[in-house]
Order: sequence, then structure tokens, then C-alpha cells
Amino acid sequence: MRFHLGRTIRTIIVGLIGALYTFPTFWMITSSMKLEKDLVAMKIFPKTWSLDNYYKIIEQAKIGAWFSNSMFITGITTLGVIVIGLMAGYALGRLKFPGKNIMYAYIIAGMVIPGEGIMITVFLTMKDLGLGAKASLIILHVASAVAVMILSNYFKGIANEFEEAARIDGAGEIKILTHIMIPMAVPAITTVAIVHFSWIWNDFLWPLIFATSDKAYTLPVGLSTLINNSDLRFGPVMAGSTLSVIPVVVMFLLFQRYFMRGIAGATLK
Amino acid sequence: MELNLSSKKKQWVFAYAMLLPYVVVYTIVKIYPFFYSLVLTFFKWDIIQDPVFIGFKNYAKLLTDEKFWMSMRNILHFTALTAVPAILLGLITALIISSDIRGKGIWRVIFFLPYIFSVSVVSLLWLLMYGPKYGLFNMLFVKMGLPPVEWLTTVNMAFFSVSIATLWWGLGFNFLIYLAALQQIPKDFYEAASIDGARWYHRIWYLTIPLLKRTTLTVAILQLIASLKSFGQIYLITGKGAPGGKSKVILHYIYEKGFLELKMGYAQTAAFIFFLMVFAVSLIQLKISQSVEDK
Repeated sequence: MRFHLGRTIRTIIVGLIGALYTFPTFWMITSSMKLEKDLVAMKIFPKTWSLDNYYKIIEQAKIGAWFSNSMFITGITTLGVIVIGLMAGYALGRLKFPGKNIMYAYIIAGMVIPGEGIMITVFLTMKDLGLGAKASLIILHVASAVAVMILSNYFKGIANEFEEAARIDGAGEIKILTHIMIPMAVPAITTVAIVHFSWIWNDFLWPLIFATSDKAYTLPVGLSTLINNSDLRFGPVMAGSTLSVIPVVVMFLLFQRYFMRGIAGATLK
Repeated sequence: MELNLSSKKKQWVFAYAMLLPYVVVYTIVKIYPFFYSLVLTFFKWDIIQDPVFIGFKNYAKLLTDEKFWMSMRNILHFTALTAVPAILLGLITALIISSDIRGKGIWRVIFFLPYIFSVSVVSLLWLLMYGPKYGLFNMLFVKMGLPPVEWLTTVNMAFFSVSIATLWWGLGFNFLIYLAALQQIPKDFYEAASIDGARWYHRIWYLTIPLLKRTTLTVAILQLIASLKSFGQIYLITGKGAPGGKSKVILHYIYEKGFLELKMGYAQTAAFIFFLMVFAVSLIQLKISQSVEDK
């Protein structure tokens, strides 16, 4: 009995801290649905729940364009991260070939070069290649060392029997990859996809560097310009913020386990 | 099963073909810009006219550039404010959530959630809290009869306020890594300790924390790198470095010199110094992860 009481008290204390911790998020969502007078009166809950702020932000800012830019860039990049990472991860994790250690070292070396430390020349390189903002942002993130590490470790862990059985049946390299390895790696692929989707969706510095006009902004850059916009009140701005977090939050809630495994796996292995 | 020579050769070709896309893209976006940046630090270039070779002049100028040193001091100041609390809070939260409480899954979501918000959302949210007159905090303060606080008007206060927002935003990452590490500690360790009559704080201090040493090392280095790279939230919450540009951090300085003032060589020289700083920390990380693998 004493044991149970302690557990309940602990849960209540954690609940209080959790409520405080969630408050900013809660405030963002409720503010986005408050009318101006409820905002000024600092009502905890809106007196009348309204979607006016959402109409206003869609009308007055280019939220639609920013959203589709973000979707396009994030979607294509994530897809690229998976395809390129899968290929490299499979080669490093599973195949035997001369020069493997050198290739491995070459790829690892990039992990100690922070992109921010070379941002000027990265920008100039993309410009020299004649790439536009969107193409640059995609190319920039498509080769992910984290993806290669997660996937090559996963492939390393797959037992040899499956591959050997397929070889005896006369399967070639490509068939082994597409028919045996990739289906078995779906959990790792999901992890890579979700973690990268959220990273790229939220990226700020690179889209800021490549941002040319307000039509080309991604959501984070677009939203950041609303800070200095005196025509827009907090309500619509919070509506924009809420809209911008929906895709990642939904994905996180649906694939929580993979997400957390990805974050932990990328660092601890 | 040993492969025969011709299928071995096939596998070599296949392996390199598989590595090709990664290596090509990676060479274009990382390795080439890296060497390019070394060269660029010896040039003066505004993108429009031809670059001019100026030897070590960028470096010499940078050494006496008061604004550069201010931005370096600022990032070290901000790192000192955020790094240790971020590690400690991550550990404490993970210890609490992994203790015997109800609804672990819900708490995990709650404490992790802000991590998946973009820096713009986080900044907008906290500006709503820190607003001088209509901010949530000051309205609450005034209601309770307390004087309103100037959250963002001095550099010290601004860094303090932005640190709070940053901790709220980033806590989830360290928390999650610690949580994963805690789950890997076998239950028998604790059972043996509880039979010996150890109290919970003894258990944490003498058992859990030493067992988490490797994790703490990883978390500390990742946190240090992340803190040194802080830019967006400081830039946005202080309104591009207010008051008077005094809260600008190094990445802000580089961004401004490069993309607003178009001093490509000079900006890249500053970026190179930043690179060296982060590189030093990354090397320690690589060394540690290798020494762990050896064991």
C-alpha cells in the first residue's frame, strides 16, 4: 500500500511539471483559436473557438506557398536520403570489396566537418553549379552520414543464412538487395525516413542562406519573417506556427518508437 | 559460403556502384567546399568583381575585429549558460520518467515534443511569453503585483531568456538518449542494490551515474557542439542581435559578413575559425567513440 501511494504521488508531481512544460505548446494552439478580445484578456481557453486566425494567416502571408515548398524539399530530400543511404549503407555493411576501410574513413571524415563552418563555399559551390534554391537545399542534405551509419549497422546485423540461401538459388547481387535485404530493413528505413523528415522540415540556417524571394521561403524562414510584421497579430501568427508543426507532430505520434530509436541509434549505436 | 573469383569481382563492381551516388554528392557538398574554403580565406571577394589574392590579410584583420571577438565571446557565454543545464536536466528527466511512475509513454511524449518544433516556432512562442507589455510572464507578474521584467533589453538578460527557451526546446534530445541508455542497464544491478538496503539516491549516485559514464560523455560532446552552433533562436528572439547588435553570436556574424555584406573571403575566414573550434570538439568525440569500440 505504501508503495502504491508513493507511485501516485510521484506521478502527480511529474504531471504538474509536465503540465508546466506543455504550457507553451498549449498556449500556441489555444491562442491560434482565440478572437482578438480573448487574446488581449489572456483567457486560458477561448470564449468562442474560432478559425478566423487560420483564414487570416493563409490570406495575409504566403503560408500556402511556404508549406508546399517545405513539403517538396523535405519529401524529395528524405526520399533521396533513403535511396542514397541505403545503397552506401548496404555496400559498407554487407559487401566485401577492396578499399572498404578507405571508403569508410572517407565518409566518416565528413562527420567532423560542420556544414556551418563551410557555409560560404557551400553556397558558392551551389551557385557555380547553377542550382536554384530548392535544388541546392535538396542536394545539400541528400548524402547523410547518419543514414549510412544506421543502415549499415542494421545490414551488418542481418544473419547470413538468408543471403546464402538466395545465392544457392542463383540470385544475383541486385536481387539479393531488392528481394531480401530491403524488405528486412524496413524498420531501419522507417527510422531514417522519420528522423530526417523532421530535421529537414525544421532546418533554418540553410533555407535562410538560399532564400531569394518570399515565394521561395520554407516554413521556418517564412514564419521567422512574421516576427517583424506589425500588420499581423499574435493570433494569426500562432495559427501559422500550429499549421507548420502539424506534419512532423502527426508523424512523430504515429511512429514514435521508430523516431526515438533513430535519435538514440544515431548517437549511441 | 566462399564466392568464386568472378562473383567476387562482380561484388566489387557492385559495391562501388552502390557507393557512387553518396560519394559523388558528399564530395560536392562537403569535401570540395572544404578545400575551396581554405583557398578562399586568402582572397578578398565581393562576388561581383574578380577575387583578389591578399595573403594572410583576412586573418590579420579578423584578429583585431572587435565585432568578431564579441560574437565569439557571446557564443562561449551562451554555451556556458546552456550546455551544463541541458545535460543535467536531460539526465534528471530521464531518471524521473524511468522511475516507478504511471503513464511513462505519455510523459515521454510530453518532454520530447518541443524538440520537433522548428526554431522559428520556438522563437515565436517564447516571444509571446517575453513580450515587455503583453507578454504572458509580465502580465502574470503585474497581476500578482510584481514589477514587470525586461526579459530582452540587456545582453545578459536576453541570453538568460533565450537559454530558457533553448533548454525547453532541446531538452528532449538529451532526455531521450539518457532514457535509451537507462533501459539498457540490466534490472539485476538494481535488485542487488535494493537487497543491500541502498536508498534511491545512493543507487543513483553510486550505481546509475557511473554506469552512464559513456552516455554522459557522448551527450556532453554532442551538446557542446550543438550549443556552439546556436544561431536561429538567438537571432530571432533578440530581433537580429539586439540590443545594438551586442548579442550576435559567431554564426550570425558569419552570415552577415557573407550574405549581407558580401565579404566572401573575410566571412569564410571567420567561418574557418569557427570550424576549427567545432572540429576540436568533434575530434575528441571521434577519439572517445573509437576507444569505446576498442574495449
